[in-house]
Amino acid sequence: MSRTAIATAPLSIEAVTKVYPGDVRANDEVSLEIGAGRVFGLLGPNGAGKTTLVNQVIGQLRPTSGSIRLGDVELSADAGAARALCSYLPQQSPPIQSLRTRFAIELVARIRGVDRERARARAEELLATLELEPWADQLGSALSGGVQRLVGFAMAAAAPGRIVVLDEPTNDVDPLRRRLLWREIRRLADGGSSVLLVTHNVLEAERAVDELAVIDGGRVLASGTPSALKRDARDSVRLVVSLEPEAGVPSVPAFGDQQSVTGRRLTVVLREADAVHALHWARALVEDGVAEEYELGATTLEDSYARLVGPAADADHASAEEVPVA
Amino acid sequence: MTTQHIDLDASSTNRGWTAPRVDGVGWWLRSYLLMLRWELANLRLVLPVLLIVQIALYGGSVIGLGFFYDVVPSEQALYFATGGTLLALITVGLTFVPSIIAQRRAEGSHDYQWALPVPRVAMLLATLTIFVAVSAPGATVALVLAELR
Repeated sequence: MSRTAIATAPLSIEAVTKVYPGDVRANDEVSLEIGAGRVFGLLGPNGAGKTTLVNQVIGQLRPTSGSIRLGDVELSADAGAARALCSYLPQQSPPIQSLRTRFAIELVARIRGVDRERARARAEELLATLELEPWADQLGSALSGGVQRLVGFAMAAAAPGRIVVLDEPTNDVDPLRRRLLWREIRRLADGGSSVLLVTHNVLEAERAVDELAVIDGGRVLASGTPSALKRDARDSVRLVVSLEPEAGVPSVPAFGDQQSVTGRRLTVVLREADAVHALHWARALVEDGVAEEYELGATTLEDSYARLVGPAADADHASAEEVPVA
Repeated sequence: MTTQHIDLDASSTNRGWTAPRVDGVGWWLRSYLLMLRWELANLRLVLPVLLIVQIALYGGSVIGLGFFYDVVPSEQALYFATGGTLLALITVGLTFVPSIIAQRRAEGSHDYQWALPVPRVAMLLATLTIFVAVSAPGATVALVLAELR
């Protein structure tokens, strides 16, 4: 298959099922399509089957049934082609304990076929854009978790594949460098790669991805653009009440469709028509010394995600750090 | 399983996607040499311990075997010297290599490297080459000790 044909072909995941020994169904009829130049988010709670799916895309696992294709190339039947076409940042840090940062980035670029001069130039470019120069000549064992994560990303981006798979790239990364990271992820897509991004951070995903899928129990619960996923909550609003440190959690009147508590923040999703009642209730909480303040706003992807996946996952993800995406 | 022929190269721009040609002797040799560099760099953390342990093992094997006999005829001494070195090589191979590979698997680094577009035999050969090379100082010490004894 020619480079031109591969350049525009979408990554097609068709009815992929993966059953592990013991009849553990990690993926169940998963179907997704990720276009060239798109950033696609894969959201889901722990054990949802995200990493299993990713491992099948990069050729580390074979599906029990179904197929994964890039144009005419069936990645699920040809691990060699999958390894050539995919670059990958795993959930765990890459093995860079004994490698210096600059060397690690260059080495992976060269392994992926780039000549020495261009590999060096690309490593310098990534060191600069991710602001990693202070650690350029340090061993991986001396780096913090967040910097190791960024180096791992740089290794995946050094000579990006037609498909770039990033498993939780922002873990442990500080808020300022996350902006740089998101910018580089977008550049990878602009260069023609399909970026498949596994993340736990719903708030970041909402602003950084073009499309996403919510997966749980091995099945795709919903997929589409962030706006499309929020569509069913379009006539809803969210009220966030900051509780006083010593106060208990007040009972929410009947207008609350969905509620969750994270630390001292009580979040209630309610119908727009009930907004005035909700504001009266929240003001009374402040006057009674139960709450410090409150805020009414539009629903977020996190609310839709919680509705899809359930309250346990909501609690798991509600603490996601709110970070602006460049 | 054979890899489909994909007409790709790595000659795109710095920011564009790349895909290496995954066939041919050139790709195989290049992959082997690059993995050798990676393995060499990996040794940085374990080399001192590895050298001390294997020199002790090799030297100990050659000298220790001589204690089984009151007087060792020169022909038998030659066998002990070479046999002891071989036994130590096997011991090092059966202890260090599996433990390092098990450690890599547990850390996920094994999976990471296996996801790279590198022939797996070249990757294994690179690891093997390094461990054989690292065994050389111990084997030399053992043979020198045997000669002195």
